[in-house]
Amino acid sequence: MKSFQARKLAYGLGLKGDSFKEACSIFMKMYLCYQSTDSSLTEINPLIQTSDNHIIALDSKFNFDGNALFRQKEISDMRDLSEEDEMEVEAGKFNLNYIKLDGNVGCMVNGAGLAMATMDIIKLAGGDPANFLDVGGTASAETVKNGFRIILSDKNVKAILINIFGGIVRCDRVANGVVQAVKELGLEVPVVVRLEGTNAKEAQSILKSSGVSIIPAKGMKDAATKVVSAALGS
Amino acid sequence: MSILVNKNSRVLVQGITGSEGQFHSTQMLEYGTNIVSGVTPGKGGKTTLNDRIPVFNTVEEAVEKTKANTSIIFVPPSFAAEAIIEASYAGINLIVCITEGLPVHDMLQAKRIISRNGTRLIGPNCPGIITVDECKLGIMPGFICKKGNIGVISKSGTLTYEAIDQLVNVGLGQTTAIGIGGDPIIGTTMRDCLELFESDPETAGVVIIGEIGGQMEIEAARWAKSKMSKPVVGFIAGQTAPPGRRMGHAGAIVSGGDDTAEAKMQILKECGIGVADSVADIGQLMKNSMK
Repeated sequence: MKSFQARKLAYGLGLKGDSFKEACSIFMKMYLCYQSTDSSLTEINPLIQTSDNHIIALDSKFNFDGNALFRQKEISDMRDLSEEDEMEVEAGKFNLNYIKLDGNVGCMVNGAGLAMATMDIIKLAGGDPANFLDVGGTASAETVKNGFRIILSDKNVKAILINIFGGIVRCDRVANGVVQAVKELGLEVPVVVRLEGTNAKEAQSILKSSGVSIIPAKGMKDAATKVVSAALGS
Repeated sequence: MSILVNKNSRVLVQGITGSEGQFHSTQMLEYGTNIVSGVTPGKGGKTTLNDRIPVFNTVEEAVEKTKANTSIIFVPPSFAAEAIIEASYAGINLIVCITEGLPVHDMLQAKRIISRNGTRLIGPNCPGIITVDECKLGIMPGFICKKGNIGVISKSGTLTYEAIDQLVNVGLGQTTAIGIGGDPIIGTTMRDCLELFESDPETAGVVIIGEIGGQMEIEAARWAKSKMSKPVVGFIAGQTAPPGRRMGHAGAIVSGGDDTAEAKMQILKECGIGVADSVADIGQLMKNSMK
């Protein structure tokens, strides 16, 4: 931002004399502030003009870019974890992207877009999603186990849908992770599993021969229908 | 024909010696992508991937010595914008930035520079581009694609794979699939890609996959309404997303009234785009629109 742009704003507001100068100075500093703190929003509201012709910022609000916190130590030190959802913070430690919702169908998906679409199709099938959970591009046995723990910490969850489209992620590894986690955690809620993509066939036979009670599904519609009826039935 | 990349694209990998760079370069070579060189500052003069690919210190040198015209970026987020800018100044025509987590202010600067230099950028935070059986410039599983006449444009990775899989299941192959990325500021928009597919003689129909947040789907739909002669089918993810929460992608956040899934679906429909209410119907809907 250049000073002529600040002047343009101040002229536009009809300011004169001291107010004009003070407003220009505030606008310029505000821009510097926005840039130097990696803000996504810098807001002054209200900004007032006093009866003796001065400009005062009464309140202000900032949003910061999470991707830039690595170079904004002063700002990231202000993060107050007690203000955030405990499970969302916990999930973050394992690089899982979790958002708690109000429904009773838990879901574990790879990729943010597919995770949203999974929540949507659960709703269309007559259920309500309990969470958004993106396990990311490198879903391993460990990730799956942590994912289960986080989903199950929500006592509303009556059934879980695992929906993985394996690209780089190999479905057989995910399947092994699911079997291992179900055995270790002694899951009591029904789990519907839909695995597609890389090594999906191997994954199916791993699930089948494991002996753990998992409901296999083919395609997203089938998966959603099965998990919703499982949630209603339990 | 196809759009953006084909078997003649001369590909340079920025960050080729890192673990992501190594893994995906191997996969791309297996698919048949014509990788001609790599760049990692400090490792110039070496070769990598079983001696097949020369590594240079700078993009400029790689372009000069190997005539690279296309680049794919796998460098960490704090250096990725710099890598985009370097490739742009070195004369690369098309850059795909896979890296997720770029600071928005870095991207604002990079975007100004690439538009001034006339460089096309796909991403960041995207799975890349694939022209079926010719060139994979990204991280998607190539084997799920089948050659055909549908173009795919998407903000999401795995949801793109889902759509491709459904298309194949109903007997429709693809020309090119593009993951444009889920960040608030990206190089090439959904509308830009629609324009490219409209002028590609081999593409007969297009699937667009959007999500909550931003105005990109609406802009694309309005353009399609007046300029697009080929059928377009769309899906918007995030119908159940709570407002004000960022759903995985940095740009996927409902912050007003017109960036909800519902509002976007409504506008897409008004613009004559076939909208799949359920993600499971994307393939079938495209098939029906092709009749």
